Amino acid sequence: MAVPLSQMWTVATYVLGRRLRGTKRYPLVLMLEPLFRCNLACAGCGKIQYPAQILKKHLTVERCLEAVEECGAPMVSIPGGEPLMYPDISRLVKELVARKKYVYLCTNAILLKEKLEAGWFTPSKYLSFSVHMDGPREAHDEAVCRDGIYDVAADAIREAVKRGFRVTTNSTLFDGTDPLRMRGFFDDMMDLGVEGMMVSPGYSYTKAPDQEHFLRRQRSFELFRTMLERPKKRWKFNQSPLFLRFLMGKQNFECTPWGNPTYNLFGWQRPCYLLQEGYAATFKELMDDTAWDGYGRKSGNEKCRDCMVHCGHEPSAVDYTFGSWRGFRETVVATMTGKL
Amino acid sequence: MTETEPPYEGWVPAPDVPLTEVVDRAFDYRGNVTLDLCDGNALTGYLFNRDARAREPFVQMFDAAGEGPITIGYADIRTIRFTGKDTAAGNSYAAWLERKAVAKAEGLPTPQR
Repeated sequence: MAVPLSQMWTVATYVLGRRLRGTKRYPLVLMLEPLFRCNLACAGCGKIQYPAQILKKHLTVERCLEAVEECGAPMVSIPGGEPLMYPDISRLVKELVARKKYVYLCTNAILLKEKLEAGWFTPSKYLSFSVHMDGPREAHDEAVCRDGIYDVAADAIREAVKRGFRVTTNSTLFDGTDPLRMRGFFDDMMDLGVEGMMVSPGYSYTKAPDQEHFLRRQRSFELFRTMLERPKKRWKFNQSPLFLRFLMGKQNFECTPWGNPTYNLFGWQRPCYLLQEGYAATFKELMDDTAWDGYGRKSGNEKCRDCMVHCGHEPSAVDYTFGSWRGFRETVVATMTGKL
Repeated sequence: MTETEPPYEGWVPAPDVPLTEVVDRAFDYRGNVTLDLCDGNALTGYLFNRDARAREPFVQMFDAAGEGPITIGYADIRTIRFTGKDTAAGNSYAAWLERKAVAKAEGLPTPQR
């Protein structure tokens, strides 16, 4: 697996520390959205569907850093919007690296090469560009609703790798994804020199009868099983192997909606990165006053029935890893053997 | 808003629609709304938050110039009109697939965004 040892150690000590203190709910990754503005308009992307005055706004670096301190998670993911359109992204990243936070800057990479050439970033073990790549060329360009973006992103990845940056990819997969073509895509990404890949099913919510929910989950399991069965040794995934096993239907995890809390212009988003049911003014208020029992598959909440997305389930996998000898052993075995 | 809900752009709620329901609709709405206040003033902007369970239920919004957040109690709101363009309307993934299929059937290039 492709997570550097120092990062694994940081996460392990953080999680164990929380568990030893008896903290029932703790965040693992802060999803920090400094702006909603984007230079793509991917179909169905709820992040960009706001009136102009909202899209023009962004958080200050100081406010971002306060949120990071408040939250205390060891990793900070910066999605958006497109973070490379945030005018202070260079300073924000520098400040986060100085605080030894592991930063995943999630970008569509349209501006990446330009910003690298302009010297906006310095390679660091704490900084990883997480490039949005939703599959092979045709599939990706279709997902982002613009031709040619796959090639732009691939070019930027090459440039970042050449300059010594950590680069990962993140792929959101929807119903209809061709699993065999995705295996070829994994080869292509490794050929580009990325450190690791992240995959997750997309989130969809429609009111449907129980049987339809069941079938949707079965389809997701089938997709990921076909895609990840007998993974090639050279494929590296920048995520928990147990989460990948969960996607393949080999392991069951409930959602941990507080695992990846989201902070943006509106405050702390309730309850998770995907559902938008209101905002808390402080992180403490989010953690203390959210009716967590009403979320996750077990709760029966219709909006959570089909969800297998990484932001809720990867923290569950990590908690299981460090919460039991069995979980730890399973993770070590999967990591060492590469078998899922 | 779900695909099956009616469009709310331009909606002026009838007087018998409970305010809590109107607020919930405004919270889900991806466009500016206008709050008609009990003191006779009006405030237009994006309503991004509401808490009906608070001791004094409130909404929060950024005004049309992006200033805010502005907090207003439910008790101060007479009604809410859906005056701004719905930025989510027609922008779902399903709508995009439909447009693409139509373009393909007509032999036109894939629509770009």
